[in-house]
Amino acid sequence: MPRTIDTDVVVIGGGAAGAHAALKVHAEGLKVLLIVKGFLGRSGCSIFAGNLQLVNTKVSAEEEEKWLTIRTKHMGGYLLEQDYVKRANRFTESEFYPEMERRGLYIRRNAEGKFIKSEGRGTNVWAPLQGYSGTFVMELLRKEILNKRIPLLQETMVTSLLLDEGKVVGVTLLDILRGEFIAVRAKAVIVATGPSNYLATRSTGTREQCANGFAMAYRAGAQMQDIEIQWWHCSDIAWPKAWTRLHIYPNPMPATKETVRLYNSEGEMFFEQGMYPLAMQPYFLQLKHLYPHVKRGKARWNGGYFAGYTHIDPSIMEQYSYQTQFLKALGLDLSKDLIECGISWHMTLGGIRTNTETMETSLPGLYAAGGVGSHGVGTITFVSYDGTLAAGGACARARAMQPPRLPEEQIAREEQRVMSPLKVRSGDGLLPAQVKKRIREIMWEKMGYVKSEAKMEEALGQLAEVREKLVPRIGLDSLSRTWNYDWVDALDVEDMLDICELTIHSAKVRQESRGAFFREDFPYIDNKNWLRHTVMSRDGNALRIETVPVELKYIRPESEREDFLSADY
Amino acid sequence: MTSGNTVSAKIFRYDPAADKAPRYETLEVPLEKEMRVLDVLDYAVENAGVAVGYRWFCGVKRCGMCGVSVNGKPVLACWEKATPSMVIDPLPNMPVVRDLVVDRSALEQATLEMEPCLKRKEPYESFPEPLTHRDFEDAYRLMTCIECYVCTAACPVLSDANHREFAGPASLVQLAKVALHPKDAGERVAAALKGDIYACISCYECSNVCPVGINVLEDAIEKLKRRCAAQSESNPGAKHARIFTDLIRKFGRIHPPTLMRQSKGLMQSVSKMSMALAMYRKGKVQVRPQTVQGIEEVRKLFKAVEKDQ
Repeated sequence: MPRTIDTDVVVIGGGAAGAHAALKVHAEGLKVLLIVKGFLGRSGCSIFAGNLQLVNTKVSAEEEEKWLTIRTKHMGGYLLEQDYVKRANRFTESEFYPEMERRGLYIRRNAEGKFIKSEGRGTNVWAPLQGYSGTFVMELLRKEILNKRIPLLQETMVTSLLLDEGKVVGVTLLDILRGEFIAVRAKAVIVATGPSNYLATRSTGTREQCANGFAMAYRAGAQMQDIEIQWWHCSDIAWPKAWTRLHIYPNPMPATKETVRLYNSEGEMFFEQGMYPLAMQPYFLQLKHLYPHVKRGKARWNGGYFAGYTHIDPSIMEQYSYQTQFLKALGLDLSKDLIECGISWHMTLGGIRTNTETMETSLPGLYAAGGVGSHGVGTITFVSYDGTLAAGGACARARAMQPPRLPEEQIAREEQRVMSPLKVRSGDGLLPAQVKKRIREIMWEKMGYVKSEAKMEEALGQLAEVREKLVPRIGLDSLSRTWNYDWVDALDVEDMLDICELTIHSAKVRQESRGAFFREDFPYIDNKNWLRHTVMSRDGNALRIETVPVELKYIRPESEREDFLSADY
Repeated sequence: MTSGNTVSAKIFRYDPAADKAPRYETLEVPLEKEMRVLDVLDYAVENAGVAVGYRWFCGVKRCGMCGVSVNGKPVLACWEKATPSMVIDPLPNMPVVRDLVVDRSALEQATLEMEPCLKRKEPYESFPEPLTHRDFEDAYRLMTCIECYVCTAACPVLSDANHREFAGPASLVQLAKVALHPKDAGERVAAALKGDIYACISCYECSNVCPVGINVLEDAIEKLKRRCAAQSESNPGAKHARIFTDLIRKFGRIHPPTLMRQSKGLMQSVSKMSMALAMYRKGKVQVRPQTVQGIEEVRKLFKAVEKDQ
């Protein structure tokens, strides 16, 4: 048996969901162990939360409905749980903002003390710059966790969930710095590994985000839901490659009614948020407008179209945007130059199937908080709510139970799997990172924004080829166990292949288009047949796919069937 | 030889657990438009199959984890533009874990010991707090510090074995960031002195290298030093700073023998007598302090600065 750690609750993931979960379990007086593959508050996607929505749904029913519509329709294609959206909005206004301000968050104000807001509907704010808010939120959460000496393992990869009689009773992990395999016994596990994964050549997922959370849950038998629905960002910078995650926000901007405009290669303007005043987060709409220009050769998915602030007073970007320094470093003059853009694989709307009242998954003892769950969030305040909610459930469970038994046989098998990549590459060997690159290329080329049955079949074929021809060639440069990231990459390859394939199988089932999900062979929104979730689970080595209806409690689409490209959601 | 279209990167390789000594590995990488140092490292692994170890997460100056040294200058790999000829080393002032990956834990511990969490005198009331941008002006200048420790890597004091107690610029920025929050009432002077803030020689290296453009020395360290000088009676550094300032206020320049005597005491001053004599012989010091011409201007400056505080 490897070394074992005992705790009450394990939290996996160092973003806002994981941080809130760890703080809550600690506040409840139980033992928590926070495990982060990268670094708390530094890796993951919470650091990218660029805008904060200053919701105030308590003031009126209209305000509540406005936010319900923005989230459910414009960000969720009607697949979200509507009561959850209402509760998360309430958490945002009554807990998130006061707690973060108490910790020292500074939402940018003017000299008179008024918030700098987006004009018009006036609900976006920034702490203290557009593009930096999440970084600041995470800094404060990180410091509080460190200051409270909450047990924390960083640069530590959770490799599997441990099961005893169908219940989750702990995790196994790999300490990347020391190369040690460890087993953790826990009464409950909260997985909070985020909505974004680095699964396509152009992605917003950070380096470490390789679908590990999805993979461990799926392998343990948890149900997955709607994982075919992938948000793409429409306006991320095209080059340099390192800056792929530099987002040009389409949302309302600070202190102006104007929003960023998109232009095709001939300089023709084709999108600005003002075209859809009700869609405050017009991510899906941007892509629909880009599509015909790509078709006509006036843009490419990875360049050849542009974002511009030329119609906006340059002092706005200068004063209120973190992104401006990057654009200036490229020598761009925002009063006259445009910024070349590309699309990037951003968030999975679905994920591990969650009960939105408790964040429980289909596996007893496993909770999913934040973007890794199936409830389609993508907002730092919502994932903070999830973390708090999941911790409540996990604590109640932990209090009611005795320390579980660890499954020694499963631990031994997993140790063998984790150690198996430790072999030196041969002459024609490949580093695992090279295989990761190939997987991302396949997903970029065949599983991009525009999907079709034929392209998805090709993607499955190419991924199978990776398994057959490239994976056996994987080897490491050295067998040293000290910070051997190639070893981590090798474990990532398995998770990426499994989850990419699962995503494609799920996408083949959904024979319609909706929100972020576009099938060129089914270019309509089918509200009659497809207001449904796809639900997938492992059945031995086979895949079981079912669909279940979406509950539409307060708002619902008007038509049974709509043309996808012209619909406003 | 490098042409204009390639990058020649000489990359530090070392696994202390397995290698006898560090070595360099050189490779040619095609130069792309506005390529960053991080792109060069990605290319090394993903295209060239060179298994160099380096840390990064975000690529866009949020995570603060991709610090390396390029041609001797500490930088963030995601921010620094690649040039045709680069020697890429791990950040100095930190132990090497593997290749370009360093162990920052001691420095992060130093930051944590500063207790960089807001300590309110009055309990928090409700959102939003009635504060203006003016109230945050000083803290705002430090708000985008991402704790990348590039400034600490550049600090010459930290590479001097005599200053092991010095917390380093990055930790002091974190302290200043919270100390300058308008609602903070923590014991910040004690923390700054514990971090040996007066070991700082005000050389501006930290400000020069900061990847997010923070003037680390003036907007963080000097602000803390001023607070220390005003509030600490006994700390020798604070006392020295006060005497230094008073001499300038009085004479328009320092007078080393007086500064020495008042700051360090008679005994230590006597021990430096031979140096003082040598300086006197070369006309570097006078026996008595001399007032500079135009002292009125100096006093006006003092008034203006002190009114500002």
